[in-house]
Amino acid sequence: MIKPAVLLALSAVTILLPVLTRKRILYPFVFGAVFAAGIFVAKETVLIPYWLYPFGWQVRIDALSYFFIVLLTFLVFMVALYSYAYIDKSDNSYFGWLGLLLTACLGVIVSADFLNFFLFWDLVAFALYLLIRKNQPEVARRYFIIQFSGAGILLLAIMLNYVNTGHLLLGPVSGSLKILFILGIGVKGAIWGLHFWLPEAHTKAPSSISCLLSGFVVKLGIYGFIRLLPDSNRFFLVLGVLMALYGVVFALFQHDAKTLLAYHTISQLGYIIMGLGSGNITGQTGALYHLFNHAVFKGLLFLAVGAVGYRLGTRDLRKMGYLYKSMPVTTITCLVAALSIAGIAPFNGYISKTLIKEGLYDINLIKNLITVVNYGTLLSFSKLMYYGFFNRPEEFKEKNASLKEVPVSMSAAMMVLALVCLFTGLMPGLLLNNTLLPEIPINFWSISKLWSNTLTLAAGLLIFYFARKVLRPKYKVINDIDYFYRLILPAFSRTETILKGLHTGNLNHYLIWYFTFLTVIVLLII
Amino acid sequence: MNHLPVLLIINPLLAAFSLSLSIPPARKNYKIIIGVSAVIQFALSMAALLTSLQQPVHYHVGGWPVPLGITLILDVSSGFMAAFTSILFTAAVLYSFAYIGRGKARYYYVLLMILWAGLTGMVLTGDLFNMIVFIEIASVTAYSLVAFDETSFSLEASIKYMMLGTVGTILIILATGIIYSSVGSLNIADLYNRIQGIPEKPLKISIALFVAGFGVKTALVPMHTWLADAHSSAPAPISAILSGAFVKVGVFALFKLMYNMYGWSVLTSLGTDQLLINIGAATALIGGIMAANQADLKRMLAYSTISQVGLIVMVLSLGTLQGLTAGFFHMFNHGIAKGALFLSVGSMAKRAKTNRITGLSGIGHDMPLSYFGFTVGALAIVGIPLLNGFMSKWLICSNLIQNGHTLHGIVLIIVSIIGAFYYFRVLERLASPAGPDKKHRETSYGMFVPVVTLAGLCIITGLLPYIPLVVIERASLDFFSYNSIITGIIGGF
Repeated sequence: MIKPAVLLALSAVTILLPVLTRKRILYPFVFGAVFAAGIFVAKETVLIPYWLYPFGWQVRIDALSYFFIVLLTFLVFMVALYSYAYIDKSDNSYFGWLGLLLTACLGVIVSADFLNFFLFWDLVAFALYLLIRKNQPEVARRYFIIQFSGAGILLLAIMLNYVNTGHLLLGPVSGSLKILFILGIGVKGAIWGLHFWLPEAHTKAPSSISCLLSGFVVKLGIYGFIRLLPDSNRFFLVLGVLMALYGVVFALFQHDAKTLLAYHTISQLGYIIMGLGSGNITGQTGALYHLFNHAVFKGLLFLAVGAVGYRLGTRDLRKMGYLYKSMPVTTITCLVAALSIAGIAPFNGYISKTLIKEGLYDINLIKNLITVVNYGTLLSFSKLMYYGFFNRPEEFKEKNASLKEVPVSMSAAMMVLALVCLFTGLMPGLLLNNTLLPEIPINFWSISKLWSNTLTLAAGLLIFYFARKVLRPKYKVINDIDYFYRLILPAFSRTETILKGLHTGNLNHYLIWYFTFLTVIVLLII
Repeated sequence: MNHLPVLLIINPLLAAFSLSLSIPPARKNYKIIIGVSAVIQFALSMAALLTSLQQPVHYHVGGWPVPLGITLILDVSSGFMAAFTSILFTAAVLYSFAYIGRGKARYYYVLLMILWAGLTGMVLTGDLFNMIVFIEIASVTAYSLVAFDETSFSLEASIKYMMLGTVGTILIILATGIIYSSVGSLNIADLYNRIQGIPEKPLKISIALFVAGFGVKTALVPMHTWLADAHSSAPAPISAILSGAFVKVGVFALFKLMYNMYGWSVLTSLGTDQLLINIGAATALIGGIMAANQADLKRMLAYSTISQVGLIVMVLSLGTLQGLTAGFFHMFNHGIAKGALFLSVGSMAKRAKTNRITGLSGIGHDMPLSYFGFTVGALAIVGIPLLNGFMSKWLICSNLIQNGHTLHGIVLIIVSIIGAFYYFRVLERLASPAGPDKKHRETSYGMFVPVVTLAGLCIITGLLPYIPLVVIERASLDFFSYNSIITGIIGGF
């Protein structure tokens, strides 16, 4: 067993990688070592007193943290492997910032006190800022400012909670503070209403980073909900259904492959939150399992679309096609991921969605809504696979059919993720029994379940066949709710203008201000 | 008798006077004189801090007994402020060697050393009259240093600064006069015991006058109007000192009077603490919003100083020991971060020959070390985790909300978000891809060493907050129990 402090120190080493060595081939191995350490880390609670002395760091690794640590270190390992070829050769600092993101995320999931939880929570956003900034400085800045504001709400909530409880230990919160915590955490977790940053950030970030953003960072929000708000079932149920529907509807009409995936992140997060809100162990287990699976298959989808972008230079569905000939590995891994996210047996999405459904089956309305979302997911991924890979547009034939497959490190990462999709589907016990999740007495492989699954697939494909004209990727600006938030901005700039106008630069005015103030405070005090 | 307190004031004055004498060797080798004097002063202030940590020193200038004579008091709080001021001044002196052209450099250093003496005196003094003297010494040198470049902007800024600053000094003198005429004493510790003897009306008026008088030195809203002009048109090392040290020393002096002369209970009964905390909030907000729309980088930094001082004033107005710790910690953190910012902007502006943000775009590629200093300073002030600003902002927010000032806590959060907005905008601009024809050399050692050192301090104190906090906790304790310590030393009046 490895001490938690060793794991943290090892992950801190990854921040310094670009300084320590210029040989990029070593980087993925170091991240692999962190993954190995993550698997064998001891489940214990320790105090690291010298961290930010006199404040200290309460480190707790319990079953939940362990689950997240394994997921995080695995995903970052895969991303590092993928990035070996994907990221421009001149940009080694990327791996340092990747290490910072890894360390910050680790910090969030092992911290048992609010100070360090908040510190790393903030640091996650900053690390992502550094990772996105290279190519998209404005997107990175917008992402950071939004996250920083969310962290501000969280800080307020933490402080008020401190006043109520008198200590800073991480634990369930109560009362009206829940609203503040939901708002603060929700910005990172992209709950509906606060999700407006997500499509832009996911679309414009480098694909390896979109993979981490969607695969892990938004899951920190779920982690926060589990830790801090374990008993808000009704709210989560409604929120989850809303997000699942909303995401899928918006995803259907996107023409940019990454935006489509981004909206599906919202939709799948909806599934997870729904499962959390089910209030029974089956649904919640399903939620956690879906969280893991979503990280794997959505990560894989982003990596595959990134691979297409790497060779083709675009991820616009209108310009893709013919890729099944030129990029078979990418096509097959992407297909595996698409089947997983659509919940088709025997891939992992099938298992977790079945669990969530089992947890919620006593509510009829939700059952029907889930079916709708299911078909929406099937349709949009049929769209992605068909227009992205199997379509045969004459105008792009020459260019697209002559592309080369991506370099080994990228395809290796994608293949490993695809295999994980398959194995966690075939052997759900592997993860379910070995981590926090208790054994679930459900037979996933009963004939009736598999039959209805096959029927769903067939029906979905049939609908897609008839509706493919409607779903053809078209350029369209689709306003999300940030349209309404943008309306507030002029008010802020008006305040600025008024204040600036008051500062005339005229000494007489300033002296008048001064004496007015003097008079006012003399009157106030007397 | 320990002569450290008075040496701290004499040493820079000595260097200044020997330069201003027209002795040819002194005129030629002014850099050596200033350098040696700065090193000595740095060592002295560190020694003073260490001494005060063991035993506070109560120094009677000329041996006159209390409360008649001039007293200098070296406790941990004043030792800490003197040491903190010295860090910035030493960096600024080193920087000036490379930054200030040959022409009038001698006069520049004369003024700089007098400013150093003035600020140290303001911190150390134990009586009101001396405080006025040192405030005037510091202010007058600051007025002239602001105008040192002799451009039309700097002259205008200096005149504005001088007009408002002089009004402020007059108000302070007036308040002192009111107090002296009522009880006939000027010693702060002595006055604390006699404050009940002052009739109600003069007492109240004197408080209002002190707030308004010191308010202009520390740039509280609405008396902040001179600061943006003055700090942006002064030479870069002077901006660093004015923003990093002078403003904080002003806050320190104001609160020394509030805590240790009036006593916090008197202020609470008059509602002045509420007034101060609201002024602090207004200062923080207005400074932040004004900083967000500046086209001139140094002006932006100047407004950012206003906003951060607002935060410090808010938390000091709580009147609690923990609040003092948080406030002093933020003073220290903001001081070194803002020092790094102003000095690095000075380097960049010197190469690009402009202060405008648009004119500086892409310069980060050419001047990586200066850009590094700027980045660390900016991130520290925004409050990015693992840099020093994060810890002090956490403490300030915690103190505000624990004492029931939730709204003021929200002000802090809003100010931080606005800060992130404008600092990140600049960071992005400075790192934007530069045109091929724009090539600036990195500055000389004398200029980037202070920048990188201050930035390094930000990182070190961010990772190891214990180093400053162990001193600051003692400092706030000494500040809080100033009067009992003085009484302990001299055995009552």
